[in-house]
Amino acid sequence: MPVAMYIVLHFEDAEKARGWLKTILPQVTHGEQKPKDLCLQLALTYPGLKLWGAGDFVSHGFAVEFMQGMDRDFRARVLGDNGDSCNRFWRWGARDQDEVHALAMVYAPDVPALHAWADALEAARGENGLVILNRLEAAPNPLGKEHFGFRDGLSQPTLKGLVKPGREADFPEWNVISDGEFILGYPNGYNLLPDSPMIAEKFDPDNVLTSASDQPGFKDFGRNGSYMIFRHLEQDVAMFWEQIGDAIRREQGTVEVEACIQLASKMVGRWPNGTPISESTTKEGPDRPARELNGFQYAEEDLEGKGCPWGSHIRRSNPRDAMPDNKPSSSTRISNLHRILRRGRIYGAPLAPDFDPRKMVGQEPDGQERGLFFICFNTNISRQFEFVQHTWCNNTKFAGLYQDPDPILGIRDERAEGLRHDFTMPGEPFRRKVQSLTRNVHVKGGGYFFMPGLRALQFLADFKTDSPHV
Amino acid sequence: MRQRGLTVLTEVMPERVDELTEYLNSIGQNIRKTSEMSFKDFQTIHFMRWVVLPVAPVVKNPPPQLVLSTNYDGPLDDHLADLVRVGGKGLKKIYGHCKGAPKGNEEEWKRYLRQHRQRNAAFYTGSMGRTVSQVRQEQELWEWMEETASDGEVDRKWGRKQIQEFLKKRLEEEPEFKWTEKIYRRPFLQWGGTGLLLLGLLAFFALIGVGFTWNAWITGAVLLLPVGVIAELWISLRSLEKKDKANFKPSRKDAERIALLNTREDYKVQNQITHLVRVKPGIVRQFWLRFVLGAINLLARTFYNKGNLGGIPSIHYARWVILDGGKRLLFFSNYDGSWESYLGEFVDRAAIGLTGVWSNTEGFPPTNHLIKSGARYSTWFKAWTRAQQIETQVWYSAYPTISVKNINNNTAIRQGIRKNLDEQAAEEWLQRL
Repeated sequence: MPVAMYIVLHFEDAEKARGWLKTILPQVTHGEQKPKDLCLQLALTYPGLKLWGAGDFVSHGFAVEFMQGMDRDFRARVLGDNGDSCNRFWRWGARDQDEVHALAMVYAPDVPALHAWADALEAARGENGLVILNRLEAAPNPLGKEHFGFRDGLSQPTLKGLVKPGREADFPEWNVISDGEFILGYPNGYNLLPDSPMIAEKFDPDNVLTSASDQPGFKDFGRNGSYMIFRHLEQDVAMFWEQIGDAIRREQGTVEVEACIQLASKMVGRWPNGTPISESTTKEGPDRPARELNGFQYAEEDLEGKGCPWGSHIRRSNPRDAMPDNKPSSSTRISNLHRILRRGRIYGAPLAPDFDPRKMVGQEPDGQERGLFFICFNTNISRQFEFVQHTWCNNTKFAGLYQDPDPILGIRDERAEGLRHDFTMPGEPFRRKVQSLTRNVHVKGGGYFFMPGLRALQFLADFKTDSPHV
Repeated sequence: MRQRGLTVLTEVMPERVDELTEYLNSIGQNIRKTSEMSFKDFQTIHFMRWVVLPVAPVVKNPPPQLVLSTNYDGPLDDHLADLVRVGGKGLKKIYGHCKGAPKGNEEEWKRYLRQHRQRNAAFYTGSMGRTVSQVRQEQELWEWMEETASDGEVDRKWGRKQIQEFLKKRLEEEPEFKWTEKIYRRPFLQWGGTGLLLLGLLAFFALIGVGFTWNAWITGAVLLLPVGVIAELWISLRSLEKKDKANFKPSRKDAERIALLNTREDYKVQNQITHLVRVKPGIVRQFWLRFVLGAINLLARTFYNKGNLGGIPSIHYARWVILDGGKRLLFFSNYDGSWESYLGEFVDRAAIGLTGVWSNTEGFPPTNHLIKSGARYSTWFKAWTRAQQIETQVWYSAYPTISVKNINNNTAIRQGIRKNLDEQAAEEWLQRL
């Protein structure tokens, strides 16, 4: 679907919220459907689930991270949300603001259809007792680029269950990940069932939910659901390219466009057209389809990071067969325990036509808001999403480095502590370095959500807090 | 110079426990600025902590206890003197809550701390041989090198040997780096008590050899006896494992505890854990617990002595201490990165060693043959670890922003800078910058 909107919802009345869910339920799209006109998905926060009564009937199994929420102090430290990205300054989702209960995710073939749906929701907000906290409208993105000008979303895991028998050869084995890493109720990367919210059988007399296979007496409320992470990330594109330009000027005396492109590509780990820089270290190379751009590895050709630096964005966020301190075989196994399924979309218009980075170098800021609605799915937030963000991206000590976070999204405001953030590129005769990076990706909102399976949504809509079992 | 671990265990007067805990917290939450103790003046300490141990009815009338742990340089006597002098009134106030604290001079205090020492069952260090001052000095050297290599004086078109020689010459001009003239060699092995144990074993086998020529029957019996005992212990272990219940479920209370522990985590590069758990009853478990800890201790000194413990590259110092005559097992670790990444490394890289130790303690995920399964039940293992983790009231690191890998890389830079390297060696050395 070319256009999308994420509508941030707060409910004032539990009973009306349940009624709304009942009426909306037929519109919610099933995972295997391929809808043509409009597609709706619902994700709920922990306060939202409690509003629907989950605090009463779920006995155990919700992730602590999810229950705490993204705006807790500790989680903010883990995620690096400090300085101007501190949740105090968020537009939505912080604890001193109206509590977020749900996110309606609407996908449509065109903008009028999208707006019509959102307007109808807004018109009926009184009778449903709901408050629309924010309408986050994504931008169409036929080129598949993010705002700094790089092709994005190329690295995605293949779910084991989606590989049809006989078609195994089409999917490189190293990239096939257990379904339970992304969907609750199925075996995960340790071949165990992930922790999932459980309901005592007595609460489900109508057998809406499936029995938990590993816990007798319980129904699996989480089955076919997933934890969804949403981050509203604003990108200061002009500032990003200005920093790149300054670094090149310091090195060479003048701002040469191709040198800027090469430096930024080192930071990303890919050229603007998506070509992995470890495969093509000196030039961008021809445009290729997405499926040809994710087969690469590091250990054999680029172990030392002289092509794709250890500190670059893509090498950190998925080290593939070159995890620091590991042999290639164990490396793939371990890095695959920290994968996420990304489904984000950009918002705002590009700084330069067609997202062409060569035109962004030297561009003045235009004062417009643009960025990424980062969305990802996983079943263990601390082992997957938070681990990638904290232990790999934000970690200034990653792979033996000293003061280097992910140059794209790991930079924090640590000037108060007298700390500096650098970017190191191994090379000959010794490393190149960009010093004192500042943050160009600013967090403006976000939350930890649970996207229930259809049965769980049905259960929520039917559940009565005054039923005799409660 | 050698690094060791001091563990001091003292009894707290029961009516003073809350007061002590509060006092320690007031120090711990303000470690860099507190006026109670000037931590930055400690000369011999890498890491230190004070922990009030929760009381558990594993012995009759269990007393509340306070444990002090330090990772220190050099002779114990010098370290104790440093501890008492810099610890000053803060140290005296802390132990004023404990039974039998002295009133007198430095010597009495040293004797008191010495008397309450506990043996470490296993001890590991990730930067063997480096003193606190060396760690700090070598970090300053790296910082100097960083600026000097970046500030444009170095021409990237030079040969590698030429660059190294240029840096060397510049360094020689800096009086504050005169200490780099001293050649530093990392210690190859650290034997200590384990060396004696090995010698003992060697002597045992030598005696058997001599014995066989004298009377094969008697010697054979002497030889087979320990083998038989160990086989019996192994078989008993398997039957105990089959009886172990798989009954651990984290409670809502644990979620609150985790939130509390979280409030003190992830401020800087390093983190710490204090973990206290009951040992399963019986002699079989006691034997295997001590056997595995002994093996880890030996390996930590001889094999895992270059900054990597069984695949984990992020541990500065760690130790296990057996308490209450074998009833409880205490674990301390000072590590780089987050709890989640540290525990992840446990599961993914070092599951055998950990399972070998903690499979002998209560609530650990089911194991078979001592070292299999166990920690590989990752979610259970992590929840179990959190449930046994206790609050560390005071935690101090002498260099909170330096990682183990940084320390070891800095030493390698220092070792190379003064040498006359050939082109090949200079190439390798330059990659460390």
